Amino acid sequence: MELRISNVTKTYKGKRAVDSFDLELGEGLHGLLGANGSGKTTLMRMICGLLRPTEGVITIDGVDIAQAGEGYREYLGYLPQHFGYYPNFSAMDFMTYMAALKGLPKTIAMERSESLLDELGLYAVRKKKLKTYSGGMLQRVGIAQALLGNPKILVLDEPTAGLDPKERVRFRQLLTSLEKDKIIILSTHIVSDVEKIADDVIIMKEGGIVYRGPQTDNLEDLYLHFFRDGNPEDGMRGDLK
Amino acid sequence: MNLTRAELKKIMRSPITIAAFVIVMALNVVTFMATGNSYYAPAGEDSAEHIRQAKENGAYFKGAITDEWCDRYKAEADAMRNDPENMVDDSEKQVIIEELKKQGYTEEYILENLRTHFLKEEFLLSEEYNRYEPVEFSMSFYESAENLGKSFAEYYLSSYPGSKGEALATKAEADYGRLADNYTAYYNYDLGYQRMENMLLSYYYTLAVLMVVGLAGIFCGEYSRKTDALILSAKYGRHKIAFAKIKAGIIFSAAAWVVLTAVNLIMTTVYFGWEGSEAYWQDWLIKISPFCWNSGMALAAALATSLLGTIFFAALVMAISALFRAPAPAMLISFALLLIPSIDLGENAPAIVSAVNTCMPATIMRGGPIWYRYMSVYAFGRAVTGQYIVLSVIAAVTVLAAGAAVRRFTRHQVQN
Repeated sequence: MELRISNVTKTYKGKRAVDSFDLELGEGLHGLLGANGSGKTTLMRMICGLLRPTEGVITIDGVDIAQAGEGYREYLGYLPQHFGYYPNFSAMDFMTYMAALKGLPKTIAMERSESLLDELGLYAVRKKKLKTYSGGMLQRVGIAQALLGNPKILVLDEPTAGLDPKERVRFRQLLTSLEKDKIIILSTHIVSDVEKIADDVIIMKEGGIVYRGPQTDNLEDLYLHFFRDGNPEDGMRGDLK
Repeated sequence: MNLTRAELKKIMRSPITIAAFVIVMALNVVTFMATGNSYYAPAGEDSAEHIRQAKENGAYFKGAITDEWCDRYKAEADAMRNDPENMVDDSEKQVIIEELKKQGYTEEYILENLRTHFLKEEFLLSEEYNRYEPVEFSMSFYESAENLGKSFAEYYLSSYPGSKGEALATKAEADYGRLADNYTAYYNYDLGYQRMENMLLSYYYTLAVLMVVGLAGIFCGEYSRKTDALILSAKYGRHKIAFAKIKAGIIFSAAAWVVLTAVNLIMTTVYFGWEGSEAYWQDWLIKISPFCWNSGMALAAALATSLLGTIFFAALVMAISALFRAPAPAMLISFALLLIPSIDLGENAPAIVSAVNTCMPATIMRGGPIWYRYMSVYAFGRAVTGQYIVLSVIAAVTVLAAGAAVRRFTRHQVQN
């Protein structure tokens, strides 16, 4: 399976959020690093079909994702950077609703929802309303719904936001335990999120790619190299803000 | 989980929707019990006695309005009016004659045509005499129909020269002629039907408020809540979920209408009863249309129209919801749409404006009023009953509005 982003540009009010972006992604875990405002979220949204590129095309195995429609979204699991929920739904309600949206049969939906909530440490509170959940718990619900349907393409935008260090470790373990025949794109500004687990790393700056290469031991130094002239806070370990 | 059921759950689990529903139901019961006018508010003084008396009168006078019927009850009323027991004494009679002479009447005319002035006041106010008033009014049913047909024909011929005026005039005479010559009107107590039709005129508003509260956020709530990204990236998160929302919105609105209507039907059964479905429907004041309907048929038409209007309004609210990014502006626009027929445009309002007003949700949701007046439209060389055109337009706009909402939602782009 190959996801190809061909010369994609997205312009908002004259500003290029993503600029002539070219990228091929095969199976594996791809870390997408970049500071806030580098265009990561815009790119993620275009990959998920939520934004139409101003120029260029995104294809899956040669088929434009806009044309593929349901056929493409069937394989997609997406965790947005900021996502909403239904306060009066329980986690189980929310998961079964998302499962229905993803076209899962009822029995499989129930089993998979319970299994994922258990894996993410939410089984005991699955029947409580989401409005009672903490930020970290809601983030874990978001991760769980992204994994429903066993997606072949998993797009995770800042997935560890709101998670404590222990939960981040569990999350990395969860990602590495997933089947290898998936395209996983993990977009983050936290270097440690992709350290040691990503098959390759892509660094974005000002809407374009400044680096692409395999996982490396000095990833942070590599990153700082590209943001040397930027905000002094960019040099802080583990945080590219 | 079925998508339509899930969307219904989202609508009905909202605390605001639940609160609105409770308030609407309570208001409806209070309105039914407390509204005045000639339909006897159940909570009013002597209301039960009034209704019992009306039923008794209806049972006494009920029947087909034929010449025999008219003659029988006119004779009874005349006998009462000519009974010396019910008249003032001679001296008082003389005083009345003198006063009427001062107004320009001759004594001969007074004795011939104004004899009711000689009746005792207590007799004039008595139930025994007043029960004949609606009966004697009913005796002119066929004549009223014929006269109205002629009036409309004259109006069309003088207002629209050529074939248009002729076609409209011919239709008017034919429509009212059917009522005057080929229809048998019946007289009976039918307060239950009138009361129910009257309630439709008021509870539509509270129902519409509930619909706006429940449906204004059905699409734009996903944008404001930021659930749009999750939904639109899912397999069935475009057309299937959009159609599920439309279905859920219509089910919610229709169910609310059914519950409100059922409560009103039950209250009408308890307090007024359903006798007299065969009674004639026109009152020749407000209800002047020439449909050969009795009270039962008119109520059925009003209920069906009200339900169609409810679904129509639901589609509009959902289309408006898809246009905005947050529920608040969608609610404001929906409420504004509801208020439009309340604006009095005056007699000189352009015809197109009146036509649009007729097609507004509030007009259709009220059920009865669209059928009250005579509506004839000249189209494609012939005169057509206007109400049928209005309802066809409503049905088409409902489908288009729902389609517009689906299209707008499925093309939504998730931005900051």
